[in-house]
Amino acid sequence: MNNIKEKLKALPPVSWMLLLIIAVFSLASPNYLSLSNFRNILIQATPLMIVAFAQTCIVLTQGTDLSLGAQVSFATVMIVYLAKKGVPLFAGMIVAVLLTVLIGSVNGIIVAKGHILPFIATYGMQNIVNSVSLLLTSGSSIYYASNVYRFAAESTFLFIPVMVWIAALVFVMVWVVLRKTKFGTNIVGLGGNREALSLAGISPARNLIKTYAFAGFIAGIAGVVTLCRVESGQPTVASGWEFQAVAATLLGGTSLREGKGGVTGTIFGVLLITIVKNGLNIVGVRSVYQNAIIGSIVLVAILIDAVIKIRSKE
Amino acid sequence: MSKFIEEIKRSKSFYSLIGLIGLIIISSIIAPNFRTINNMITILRQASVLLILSSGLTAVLLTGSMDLSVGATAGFIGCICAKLIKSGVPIPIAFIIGIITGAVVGFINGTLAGILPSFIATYATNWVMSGLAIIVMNGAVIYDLPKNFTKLGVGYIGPIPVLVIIAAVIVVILYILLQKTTYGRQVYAYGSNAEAAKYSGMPIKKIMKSTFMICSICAGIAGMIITARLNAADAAMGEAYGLQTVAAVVIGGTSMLGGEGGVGGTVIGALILTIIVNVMNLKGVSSFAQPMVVGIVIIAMVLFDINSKRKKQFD
Repeated sequence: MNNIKEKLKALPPVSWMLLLIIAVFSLASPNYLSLSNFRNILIQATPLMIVAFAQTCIVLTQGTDLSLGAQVSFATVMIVYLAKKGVPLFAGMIVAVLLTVLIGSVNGIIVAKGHILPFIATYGMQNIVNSVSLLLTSGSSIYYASNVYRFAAESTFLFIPVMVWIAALVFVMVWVVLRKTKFGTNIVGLGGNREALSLAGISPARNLIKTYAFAGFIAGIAGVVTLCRVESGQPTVASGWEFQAVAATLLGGTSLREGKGGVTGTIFGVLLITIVKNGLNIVGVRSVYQNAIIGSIVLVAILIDAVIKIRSKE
Repeated sequence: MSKFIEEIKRSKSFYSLIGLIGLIIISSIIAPNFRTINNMITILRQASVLLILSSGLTAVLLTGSMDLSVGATAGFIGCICAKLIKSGVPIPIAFIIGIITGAVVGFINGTLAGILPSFIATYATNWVMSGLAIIVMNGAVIYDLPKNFTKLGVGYIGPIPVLVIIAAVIVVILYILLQKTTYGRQVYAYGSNAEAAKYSGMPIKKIMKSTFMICSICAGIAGMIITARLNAADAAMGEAYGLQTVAAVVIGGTSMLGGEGGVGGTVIGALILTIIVNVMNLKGVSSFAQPMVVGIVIIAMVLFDINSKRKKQFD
C-alpha cells in the first residue's frame, strides 16, 4: 500500500492536473470521453511531443533552443523542395534530418565556443532558418503528392497510429540516451554541475555541441512526422512550437535551474497542452478565447509546480 | 579629451558604437539614397517604437531578468486604447488608462518573475496578453481613428516627426532614471549582485517589480503609438516587436546577466537593427531574406561583444 503511495507521489503534479482537466471536459461534453477522441489527441500531440523531447535535452543543460520550431518547418520544406526536384522522398527525408543535425551543431558551436546565452544564439538561428525556408518556398506552402504521408498519418499498427509509434520510438531513444549512456550522464551534468564535469576530464563544450546536434536530429524527425500530417512543406507550420515545448518540458518537471528531470514528465506536459486545445474545441469555446485560456492554464500549471517545489525545499 | 575617449572605450557599448559607425559608413557607400536627410528622418521614425520598447526592457535586463511579453503587451494596450477612443473616451483619458494597464501588467510580470524564471513567466504572459488582445478586438480590426490621435503617429513638429520627439523624451527620462538617480544605482547593484544588494538592505523585490512596471508602461506607450501610426488596431500588431526588442537591447551591450550596460547602448542597438532593415529595403532585398541578415547580425554582434570582453563561461 505504501509502495503505491510512494509511486503516486513520484508522479509530476502535472499528471493530477491532467486528470482534473479531463474530468472537467468530460462533464462539459458527452462526446469527450471516447476512444476515437483520445486517438485524435494522440495524433495531434505527436509532432509537438517529439519537439518537446528535443527541448527537454536542451533544458537539462540549462538552455533553451528557440530554433527547434524553425528547424521542423525547414525540414518539411526541404523534403518537399527536394522531392519536386526529383529526389526520392526517403532520400529527401535523410538529407533534411542531416541538415537539421548540422543546424543543431552550429547552434551548439555558437553557444559552447562563443559563450553566448543559448536563448539569444538560437533566436538568431531561428531567424536564419526561417529565412531559408521562406526563400525556398517564396513564402507559401509547397506540395508534392505521395502515399507515404497517408501511411504514416492514417494506418495503424496494433490499433495505434504509425505516427504515434514513431513518437514512442523517439521517446525510447531519448530515454535510453539520457539514462543509459555516458553522453546522457554528461547532458545532465552540463545542467547540474559543469565544473565537476570538466574536473572529471570531460569537455563541456564538446558535449554541449553534441546535445544541440542531437536536438537537431530529433527536430528533423519531428519535421518528417509533421510533413506526413500536413502533407505539404510549410515554412511557418511549426513556429511557436519551440516555446510550447519549453512549457511542456517545465510542466513535466524538468528544471531550468539544476539539471533535473527527464523526458517521461515531458509526455504529461505535452498531453496537457494538447488536451486543453482539443477540449476547448470540442466544448465549443470560440477560437478567439482559446489563446488566452491556454496561456493562462499553462501559466497556472507552471506556477503551481514552482510553488510546490519552493515549499518542499523549505 | 583622452580621458573622454578612455571612458568611451571602457563602456559596455563601445563595440556596439563601432558597429553602428561601420554600418552607417557601409550603408552610405552601397546605397546612395541612404545619405539623404529625408532617409535619416525616416530611419529615426522607423526606430522610434523600437527605441521606446527597448529602453524600457533595458531596465529589466539590468536586474538580470527578462521580459518576453513586451510585444504582446504593446499590442494588447494599443487595442484597448483604440477601442476606448473609438467608443468616445477622450484621448488623454484613454492614454492614462493605457499607461495604468501597462503598470498593472508589469506588476503581474514582476510578481510572477519572483516565483518562476522570468523568461518562462513572461513568455506565458505573452501568450495570455496576445489572447486578451484578440478578445478585446473580438477577432476584428479597428480603423479610422480620430485625427487628433493619429497625429501622434504621423504628425510633424517643424521637420521632426512627433513620434521621434516622444521616443527621445522617453529615452532621456529612462537614461536619467537609470544613470543619475539612487534608484538607478540600486537597479545596477541588484543586477550585479542580488545577494549583496539584499544584505545591504535594499528592497530588492520592489526594485525588480518596478523595472517590470517601467518596461510594461513603455510597452503600453509604444502600443498606443503603433496604433496611432497605423491609424488602425489589430490584435497581432505587437508580435513582430517582441524578440526584436530583446535583440536591440542585447546588441546594445546590455548583459543578460544583469548589472552591465544601459539605455545609451540600447539606443545604438535599436538604431543598428533599424538601419539594417532600412538599407535592405533601399536595396530591394527580399523580405524573406531579411530575417536571415538580422539573425546573422544578432549572433555576430553578441559574439563580438562578449568575446572581446570576457572569456567567462556564460550559459
